[in-house]
Amino acid sequence: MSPFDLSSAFPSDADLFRQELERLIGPVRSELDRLGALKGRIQDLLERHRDLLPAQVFERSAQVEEQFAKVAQPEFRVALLGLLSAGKSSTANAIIEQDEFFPTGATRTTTTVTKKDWNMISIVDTPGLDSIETREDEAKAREEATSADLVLFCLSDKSGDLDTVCLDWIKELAGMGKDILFILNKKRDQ
Amino acid sequence: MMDFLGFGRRQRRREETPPPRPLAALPFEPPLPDRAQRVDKAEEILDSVRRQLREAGISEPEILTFSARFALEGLRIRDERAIAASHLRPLQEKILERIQEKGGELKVASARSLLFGLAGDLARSVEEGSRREQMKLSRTQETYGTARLSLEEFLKDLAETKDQLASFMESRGEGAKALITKYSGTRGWWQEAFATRREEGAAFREWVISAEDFLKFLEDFLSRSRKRLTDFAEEAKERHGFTYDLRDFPSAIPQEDRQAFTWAIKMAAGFRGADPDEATRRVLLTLGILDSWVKAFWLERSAEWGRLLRSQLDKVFLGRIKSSSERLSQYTGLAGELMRLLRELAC
Repeated sequence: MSPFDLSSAFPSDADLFRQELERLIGPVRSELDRLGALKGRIQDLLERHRDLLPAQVFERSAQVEEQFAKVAQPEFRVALLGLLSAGKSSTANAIIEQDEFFPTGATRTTTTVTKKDWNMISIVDTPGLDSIETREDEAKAREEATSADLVLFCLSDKSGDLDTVCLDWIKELAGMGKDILFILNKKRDQ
Repeated sequence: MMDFLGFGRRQRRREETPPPRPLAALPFEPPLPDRAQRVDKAEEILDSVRRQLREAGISEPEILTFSARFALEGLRIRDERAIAASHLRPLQEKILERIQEKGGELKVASARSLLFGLAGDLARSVEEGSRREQMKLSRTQETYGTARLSLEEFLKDLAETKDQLASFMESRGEGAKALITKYSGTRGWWQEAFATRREEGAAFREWVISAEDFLKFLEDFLSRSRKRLTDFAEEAKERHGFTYDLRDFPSAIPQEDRQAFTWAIKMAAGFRGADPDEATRRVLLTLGILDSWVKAFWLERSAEWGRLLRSQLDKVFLGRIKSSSERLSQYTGLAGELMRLLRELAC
């Protein structure tokens, strides 16, 4: 744990956020549990009447099983995307109020996808989109971005011109209907 | 508004009282020379970013200006914490808002939608399967009815030929029996009868002479019956898709029976010139064999044919009907369970 575990030093603000998360996510989790149980009963029904039903229903059931597993995760997934040094890790640290959980620095500090489950939200930090070196890393970043409930896309305030790498990703995510919140990260003009 | 919460206040406070911990250590120093100029620059960047995002397909981009480092630095310091927290709060609130508006409800709605979709597919399959099974059952029942009717007609037809045979047999047999009964114990009546060409003698001789023809008649009759049965079975296969098993149905007089039959005829035919009592005995024996064979082989077994054919038909069709009915019942049960699940899902 970081020596600056701010949530424990100043519990009141963090607690409020946590309580609000619990208030919002708790019922969702219960409902998803209930739906998961219903899904199990539907699948049990299918199995018990396998000889009555066409193969397509079972294929559909397998698809639903896969999709349900993705959709019905009770935790809320927040993925941070942006170019190198756009402030992704710092923003992630700020959200969870832990100073150095996600390593930060002037150079390339995030080389792989890093996750932190925090009070029912799962925060995913990704390497700079312009610094991804392998296709595997890019695929992983894309997978995290597409499966996220919310994408925090960090943009630098240094210039009003967005990098083409950023724009390509933004177009792709927008095409998927992904929920994106853009963060214009203020770094120098304080 | 580009002014971060607390930034102005912090700036003013810094001008009034130097902070105990030099904020120069924070990375936010030094400020731009002119605040208005700084705001203009920020607005310009924001506008540019918004425009480019719109061009990229985000119609209403939601942009939050935020300084992560400011928030983190501020949270470390008790005096700065409130400002840092207020700076962080919009981001936290945005996350909460997204969880509320798009996260939780969306997850639940998506999960529910997936299950509704699956249950819908299942319901359609159940409905379709049940409909198909119902049609299959109706077709089976209809075919069974037609096939059974066809069989009964065939058996009725067969029974009529059986009556003809019985009648034929009786007329021949009874005539001979009557003669034998009349002259039994009267020695030499055959010779007398044949010698005088009396009516009885002629009739008896005719009977004996036609015995071989009778055998031939029987064999033809059996062959014709077999062909009719085969034709009926082929028609049943073509019309009703049902194949009768005809292995147990004879196509000719069994060899053993036929030998006994011809032997008896020869015996009867050889009575002339013999001892009248012996001749009488042989004739009676021949009649007995013929009579019992026809009764046992044809009259009784043809009745058994009907039972066998009905049994084959019933076994298959009633089996199919039972199976279809059970499947229909299973579909009904499945639909009921599905309805209960759908009601729970809708809650």
